[in-house]
Amino acid sequence: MADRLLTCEEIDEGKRIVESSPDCLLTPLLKDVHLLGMQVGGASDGDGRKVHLKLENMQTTGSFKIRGVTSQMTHLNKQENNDKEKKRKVVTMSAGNYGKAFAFACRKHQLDGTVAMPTTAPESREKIIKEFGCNVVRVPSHDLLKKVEELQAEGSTFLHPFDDINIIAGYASVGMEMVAQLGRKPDVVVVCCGGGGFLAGVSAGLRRIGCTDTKIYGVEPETANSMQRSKQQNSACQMPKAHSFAAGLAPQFAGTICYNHVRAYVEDIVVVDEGQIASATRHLCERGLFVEPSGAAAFAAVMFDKVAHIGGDVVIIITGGNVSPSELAHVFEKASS
Amino acid sequence: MAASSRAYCISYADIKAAYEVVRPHVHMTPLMQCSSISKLTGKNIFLKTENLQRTGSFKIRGALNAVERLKEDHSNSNTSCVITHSSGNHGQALALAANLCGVDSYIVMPETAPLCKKEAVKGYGGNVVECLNSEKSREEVANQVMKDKGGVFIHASQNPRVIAGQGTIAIEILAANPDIDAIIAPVGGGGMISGIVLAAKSIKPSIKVYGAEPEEAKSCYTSKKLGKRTGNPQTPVTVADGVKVSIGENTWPIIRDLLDDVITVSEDEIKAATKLVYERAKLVIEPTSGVGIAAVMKKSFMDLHGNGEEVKNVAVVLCGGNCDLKNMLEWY
Repeated sequence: MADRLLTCEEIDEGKRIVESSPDCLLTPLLKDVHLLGMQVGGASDGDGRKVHLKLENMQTTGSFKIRGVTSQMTHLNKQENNDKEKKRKVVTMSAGNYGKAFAFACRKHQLDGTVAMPTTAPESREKIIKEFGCNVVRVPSHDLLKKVEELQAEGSTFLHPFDDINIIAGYASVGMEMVAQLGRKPDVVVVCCGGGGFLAGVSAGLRRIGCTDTKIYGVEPETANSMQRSKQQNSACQMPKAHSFAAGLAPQFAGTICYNHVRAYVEDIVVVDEGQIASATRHLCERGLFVEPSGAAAFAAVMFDKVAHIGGDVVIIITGGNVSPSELAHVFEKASS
Repeated sequence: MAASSRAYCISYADIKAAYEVVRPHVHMTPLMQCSSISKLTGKNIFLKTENLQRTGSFKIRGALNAVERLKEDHSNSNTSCVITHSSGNHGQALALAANLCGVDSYIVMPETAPLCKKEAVKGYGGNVVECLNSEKSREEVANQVMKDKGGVFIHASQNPRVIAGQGTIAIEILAANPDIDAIIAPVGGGGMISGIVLAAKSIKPSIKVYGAEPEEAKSCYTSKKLGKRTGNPQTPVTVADGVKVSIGENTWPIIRDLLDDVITVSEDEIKAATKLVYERAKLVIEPTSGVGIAAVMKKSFMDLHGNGEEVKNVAVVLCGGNCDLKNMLEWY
């Protein structure tokens, strides 16, 4: 398990599951955004880079997570349900976009779902998840895993929010889609990184489709750089003090399976600060795209020249758009430029 | 009625020529499908995302076409300078167009215009000249600038080159999806809708084209109904600030003869539609763009083709995304 990487068959199966699911959309690849007047870093002429945005903020439930969830639940449904009278019980822990996608999919796949979330999570998150018919249980952050284990003992299957081979297989579809949409192999791909599941999947997908020379970068908030540290230390590490207003990018540890893929396929992890994330969020909004701060981190890295060797075709993934205009207005005040 | 160009200020050939002029500088914005809005309307809804366009609205098309052709059109005037009055998207677009063509621009704006709009004009290299917040003052100050600087006045909606430039939107929509059988767009002065309807019906005569207006600012609707160009009775009060002006003498004949119908929407409908696009399509649009979305969601729109003319694929022009989020929070 230590060095587990997705196999080609698993990646292809993940792609097949996502493509055949009505819940997963083929999101647009917005090409040549430098021609739309977006600030894409580099010298004043952009150094000839061609920047394209993969718009996963437009995905069902407002983020890419539904791809991973759909893959997870498809695999789950293949297993025997011991209690055929009742719906299968599943549990996860997430106050964020994974929780929302999970709740949506539970309703779709006829599962009895429970989401454990920290007491610090906003009311609005709980409301959204309950509206899909999911149960919510709130506990202090440090007790989340304990609560999950309790529910497992009572017969629920635990679905990990990011460190799961089936989730990562679902995300690989994004890497493969963008190449088909671009019509050629990208030179650089820049991806937001929280637990690392999405970065792992996208990079595996890119390699699977033959993009062996594509340079892949992950982007983290500087105050939640667990994956960067993992890369430096050569092992997936914990970061109990990880925090960021881009909450989706600040779990307290980098996933182990995620880290394996990052080590194998990813060029480097770079960090951006709060002001840069806020500036990127505001800039994207001013240019017509509704993006949450966590979803704008990769764009921030390119906008503020945090990634080395950017040239040719650069694809940046916009990972989510679950934010309200009033939350955005607050974020804009933090912008550094 | 055939799209004969004899009676109008422009022809389809002018729009095709405009496309050659603007193409190098203007991005062909995507035509995006939106499944949630499609489900709500029972039609396949396609969004022409001009909110993503350079300068944040479609107006760069018309402005560029006008400025590029200055020397041709105004050989007797000072063509090193263009002037307009606009607190809206036309001002920004003209400033950028002038910049790209190496020409000076003077944009007359009310002193009460938001700072971000003034900054945007300056950012594109334009000069802001302030006036009082009235039609009278706008015109007076613009006339004064013309006396002082010379230069050519470029009207936001009645200039023929501007109208032709806006018509290129229809060329792109049908190039991206030839199966589009209806286009709907908001109407203010009518520059966009008249360019679009002339081009669209020249390319695909069976296509339907509809205008969308706020009930509070329905000069186009009223004019069509009365068969006579009729302005808004007083300055409209609407959240759709981009369409407060009335249709003009150059756009009216095209609208009168070619536009299939006009749908009006309430303030609440505009706000709800704008919110829907934010939340479901994840696109930032100004409320004026919400007018078109509100129109396709109205029962009166769906009833328009209940009688056997099946309209399946509808393109809605999201005309712009230049909005002040803070202002929107008041009603969001």
